[in-house]
Amino acid sequence: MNIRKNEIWSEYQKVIADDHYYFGRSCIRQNFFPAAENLYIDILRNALGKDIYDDARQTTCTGIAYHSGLIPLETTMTVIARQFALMNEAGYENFVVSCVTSFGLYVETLQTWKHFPETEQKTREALNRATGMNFSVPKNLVHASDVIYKFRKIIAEKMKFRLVNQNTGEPLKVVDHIGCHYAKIFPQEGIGGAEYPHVLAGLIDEWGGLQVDYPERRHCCGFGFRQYLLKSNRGYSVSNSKRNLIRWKPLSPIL
Amino acid sequence: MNELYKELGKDVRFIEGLKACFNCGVCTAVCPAAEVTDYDPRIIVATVQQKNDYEIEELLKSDSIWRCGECLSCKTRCPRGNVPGYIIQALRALSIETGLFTESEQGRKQLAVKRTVGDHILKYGYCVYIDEVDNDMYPEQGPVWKWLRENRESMLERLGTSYKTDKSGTLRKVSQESLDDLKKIFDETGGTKRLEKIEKDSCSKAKELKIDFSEGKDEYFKYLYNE
Ligand code: SF4
Ligand code: SF4
Repeated sequence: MNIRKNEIWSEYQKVIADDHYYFGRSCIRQNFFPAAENLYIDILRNALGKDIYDDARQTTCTGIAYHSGLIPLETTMTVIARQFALMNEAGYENFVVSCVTSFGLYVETLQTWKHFPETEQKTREALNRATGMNFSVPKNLVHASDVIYKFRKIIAEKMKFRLVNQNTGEPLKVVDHIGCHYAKIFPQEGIGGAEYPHVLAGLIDEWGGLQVDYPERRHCCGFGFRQYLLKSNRGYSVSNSKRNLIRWKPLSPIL
Repeated sequence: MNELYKELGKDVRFIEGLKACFNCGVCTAVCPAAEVTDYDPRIIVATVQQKNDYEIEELLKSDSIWRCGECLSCKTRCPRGNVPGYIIQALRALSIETGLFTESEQGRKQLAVKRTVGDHILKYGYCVYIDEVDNDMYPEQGPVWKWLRENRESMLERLGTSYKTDKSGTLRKVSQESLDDLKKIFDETGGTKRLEKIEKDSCSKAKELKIDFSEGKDEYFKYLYNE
């Protein structure tokens, strides 16, 4: 049966745990959007009545350094293994990752262990020698936005303002842009896959807005890890982001 | 013979990243780095699959392997299942291992990356930390960021964060015990060795270039970071 292009996303679904999450924080979100993660936890705990654990002992996953070509894969996998061990110690099985880059890297670590089992064994031994810790992999690993997507209908019932112009009743026009590492590396791990990610578009639809399509919707924002970190290279990031902003302008979006 | 190619072949990212390239150029078409520089992932993949150590050494000494932005857009689109971004990861690791990273302008900049995110991980437990992101280093953050930073004690408290406190939450102080765990993991898995190698080889290069080299934001760092 032929599936319509704008429904391809529905082929890509994933299991998202219903409750009891261990929260993995994001370096970038904490610094540049310092209220965002607390708001997220507040929505989960107080609007949705869910249990989410915020652990003081966790650290960075090393993702920005790793993708800048600085840190060996073995180091990154072992730091991630420590986060899993902390999750086990806290009595949780469902890991919710706040950062898109971390999410991609956690999935990549699990996939590497699956396809190269000797790397999992080496990681276990290295973690144990370094810290005395052991770990089990999470039963469920998702990005923070996946959980919001799962409960989007319940949130819609509780929301005070829909994505609608209060004066005209018209839906607000919304553009979305998904972080590359959400689904481009492992499309089966993202709602809607890599070509038609639905994790944010589904929220726009459910909450009364109007999705606006644009040619570079799947294009990278240009962060580029080491390219943004170095002032001499930052033109890479600025040029790519500016291109997206120019494309959005005639569409008059609100986001 | 083929020593460098053999070394690459030990890296799981290289094994995953290189199947067989038929030079279609789709990766280049979708690549954000190719859009703004003369970088071309198709050429990188075509070069390494020839298994020619001379050509691989030229890559390890080149700027091009440092141009990739690791977005992994190429992974989604390659019709043959290659991942130029993974091949780049393996080439970058080997470039540092062999010391050849100091032979290119872009490779040398790894010292500046090491002295920012690399050192922040072991000092703060985060790759990025607000105390280090000032407007001299990041002028594009603009006046709002400057104001937020200057007033961060009170603003971050108003926003309900745990800035510099021992409890859980946003921007909390990572405990010494957790920082020690990170350091021990780095020691155990080659992370410390990698960072030390970058410092050591950079020191030799700075001497050759006659630029002052010590630590932190020294003259060599400024040269690499800004120019
Ligand atoms: S898209 Fe794949 S097959 Fe085509 S040039 Fe790039 S690596 Fe080679
Ligand atoms: S991962 Fe690198 S090579 Fe691949 S599309 Fe992104 S910038 Fe280009």
